[in-house]
This record gives sequence, structure tokens and C-alpha cells, in this order.
Amino acid sequence: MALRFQPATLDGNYGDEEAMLVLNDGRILAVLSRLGPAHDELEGCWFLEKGFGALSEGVDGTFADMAAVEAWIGRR
Amino acid sequence: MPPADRDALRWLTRKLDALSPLTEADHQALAALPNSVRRVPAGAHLVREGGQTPDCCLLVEGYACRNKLAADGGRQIVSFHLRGDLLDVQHLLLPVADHNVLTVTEAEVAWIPKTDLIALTRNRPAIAEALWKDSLIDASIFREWVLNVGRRDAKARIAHMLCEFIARCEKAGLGSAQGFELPMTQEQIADATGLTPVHVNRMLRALADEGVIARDRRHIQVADWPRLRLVAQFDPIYLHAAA
Repeated sequence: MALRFQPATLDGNYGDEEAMLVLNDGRILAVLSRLGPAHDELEGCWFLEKGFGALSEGVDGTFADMAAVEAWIGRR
Repeated sequence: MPPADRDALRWLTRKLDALSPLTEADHQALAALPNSVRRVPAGAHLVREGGQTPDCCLLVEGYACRNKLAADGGRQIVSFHLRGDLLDVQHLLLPVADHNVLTVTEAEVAWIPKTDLIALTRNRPAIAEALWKDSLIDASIFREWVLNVGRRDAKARIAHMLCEFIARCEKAGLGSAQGFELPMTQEQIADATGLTPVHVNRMLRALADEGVIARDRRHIQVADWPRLRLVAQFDPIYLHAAA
């Protein structure tokens, strides 16, 4: 698996516009957003907005950094 | 079972009286129900799925919810409950619990033996009718929640949950749209609306930014009730006598 992280911007995402696409061989695996100050202790964490394929079910995740995201995807 | 705590049972009487007019003899029969009042902390299980309970649970103070669990541990809260609600009236006739009942806040509950409640319904038709209506209204609220979780967008789900909670609290004399404390956490609201806590936070913030509500942590004030109802697509007809 060759993961690639591509910065993006989410439109109209209630202040959490900074985003990251996670791709595997050009296929989108996940869309994450960076949580802003309105989320208190979660500020700065990455939030899984939408997962696809193996990441599409039963997921409700926030991650401290992209290394944590990568480790989580590896476990899936 | 100790003798009746009449003070605890007055909330049940008040609720049933509103559902089906009771006679003075009905009032006396309700007040004489044996019961055991206990204080329980927040997050305590009152009924467990698969369990069999000899007693029916009346919420006297505080808030509670019913939930069901998915195999992967996902929680779905299927209803919130207030003072005066019988939390497991279906177990009068169904022997095994098909869901969990938990306290949302610290609470006071009165346990009433099922056999006494069943006897009461056989001897007192107005009480039986009120309990039947209560079950029917419960079912109506569940239908509305299926619609809410299945077919409304995130903001409408949160707005609808707020509208229903306010309407029911007002009926129970527990607050009004002018200002109230939300007893549930954002995680519990997420479990009730099929969202994540992050989405719940965003939607509450969006409603505040749009001037529909004002909030300070859990304190909510509805700034624009017609707009909140519109966002929620809230029509209280499904609450029948519960609002």
C-alpha cells in the first residue's frame, strides 16, 4: 500500500476547512479535516469526515496527527 | 417492599391523569402502590438488555435514556426520559428486556412491583387506558426518531431533538425555551442522532451562529423558536398528550 496525503480545503465545513485527502494508488481512502478551536481539547486533531472502502464502516475517529492516521489505516 | 412513597408516585399520577382523566379512587390506588425509592448515579443501568425485572421503574428526578448496542459497540440512544416517565412499562407484559435503560444524570427512581401495577390495570380501567396511551405515544415518538435519524440532515436532527426536549420539559414543568440546561453530553446527543460528537458540536455552533439559539456550554436559550421549529421540521402532533 502506497499512501499519499494531499492537502485540500473543504467547502462550508463550519470552520474546519483545512483538510487532507488520503490516497492509495490514486484512489481516495479517506477525507479528514483539522478541527478548529471550537472543539476545545480536540483542537488540532484530525477528524475522519468520510472513509471509503475498508474505512467506510463503524468508524468514529479523531487522531492526534497524521502518523496516528497512517497507523490506524495500517491496522484496517 | 416498603410502604408507598406517595411523594414519588405523584409524578406518575400527574402524568397518567393528563393522559386519561382519573377518579379520586384511581388517585388513591396509584398513591398506595408499594415502591422502593433509590438514588442512582449518572450512567447507571436500570434495565439491561436480556434481563428480567420483577419491578417497573419510575423516574422521579433526573433524566434517563434507552439504548441499544450494535455488535461493534456502537450505541444508539432511542429515547430520552424525564420525571414522571415509567421507563420500562413494556416489561409489565413482555418478560425479557430488549434494550437497556440508563440514567443520563444522577437520578431518583422508584421501583414498583410489576404484579401490583398489573393488578391495578385490571381493577382500574382509566389507569389501564392511560398506560396504554403512554405506550402508544412512546411508539409515536420512536417513529419520529426513526425519521429523524434516517431522513433528516445533521442540523435538522439536532434542532428536532432540542424542540422535542423543550416541548416535553415544558409539559413536565422542568423548564422552557427561555432557558434550560441540557442534561445530556454531546456524546449522548450524538448517540441519539446518529452523528459524531464533532458534528453535534458543529451543528450547535451553527444554530448559535445563525441566531436560532444562544448557548453557554450546556445552558441553551432559544432565541428564535419559529426558526428552530422550521429548521427542525418540528410538528408536535406526534407527541400527542406528551407536550
